[in-house]
Amino acid sequence: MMEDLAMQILEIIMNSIAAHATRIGITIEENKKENRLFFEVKDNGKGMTSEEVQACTNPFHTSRSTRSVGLGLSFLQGLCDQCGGQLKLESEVGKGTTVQVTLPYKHLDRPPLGNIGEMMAFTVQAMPQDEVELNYSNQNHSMTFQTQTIREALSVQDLSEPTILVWIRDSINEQITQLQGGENEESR
Amino acid sequence: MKSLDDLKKMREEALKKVEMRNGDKDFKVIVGMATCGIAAGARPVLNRLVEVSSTKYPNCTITQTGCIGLCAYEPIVEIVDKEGNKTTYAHMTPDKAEKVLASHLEDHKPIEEYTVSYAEAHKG
Repeated sequence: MMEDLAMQILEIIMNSIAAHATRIGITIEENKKENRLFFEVKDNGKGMTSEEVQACTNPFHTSRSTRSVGLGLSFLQGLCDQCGGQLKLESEVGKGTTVQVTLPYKHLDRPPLGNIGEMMAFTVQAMPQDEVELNYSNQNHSMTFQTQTIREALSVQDLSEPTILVWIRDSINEQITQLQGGENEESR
Repeated sequence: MKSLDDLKKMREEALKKVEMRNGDKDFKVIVGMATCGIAAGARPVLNRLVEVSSTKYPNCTITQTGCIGLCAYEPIVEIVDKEGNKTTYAHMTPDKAEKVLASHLEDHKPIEEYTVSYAEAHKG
């Protein structure tokens, strides 16, 4: 299984990329006060029919032709089952897919958030010509990261250069740690 | 604070290094990042490759790929040179991957003992 939420989210992002998305928006909301951790991956990929939406948390359903097992969304369903969370899928053929997960923040079996900066750097690396956005917030603060900002600042289209990726990872992690008030995410 | 200006400066320095090497990328480094790869530990490997290459090896591009059907050998790192010669490394760790970069990219010597074909020949 996946050890942290960043890895789970990355799996969902890989689905989006496989669905030919050119724009992916990731939202993460930590709300300790209301005991809620929410995350969402929204893409403009090819979307799914309602039958596919019904079937896709089954590990033996996959859009792949190479093999008949697909684990990304089944793992996510497993995560929700293990800590009393909720998985919501919305999809329209030709428009895109939105995956939303709400978890109880303080549940003992809720995995830690993990390395979000790394997750974002890997996402940008996997789709260096496309648009990726992150919105992170907790009960007090919020931050936004857009690949667009970097493209404008550097006047480059392709963001796959290691220097850029390392910067994305470190700058996002720095901001998130700051917003968390230097407080250890695990102290709950 | 990591500002965009810092990034601009870092990038200019990196670009200068690439230009010194005629601006062409000599190697393509590919990391398997499917569920099998990630579960086996590809994430820290990719992280290290990106980190090390950003400072030391501007002559390569690093990309990701899905599952190539050798799940038992993950984490897998493939290195393709300009002529299209492909070396596939099995059971990578961040440290092994860094060694591979040093030997393969700098000295142009693949590390035989880390390859899939070596692991195949010596298994059991």
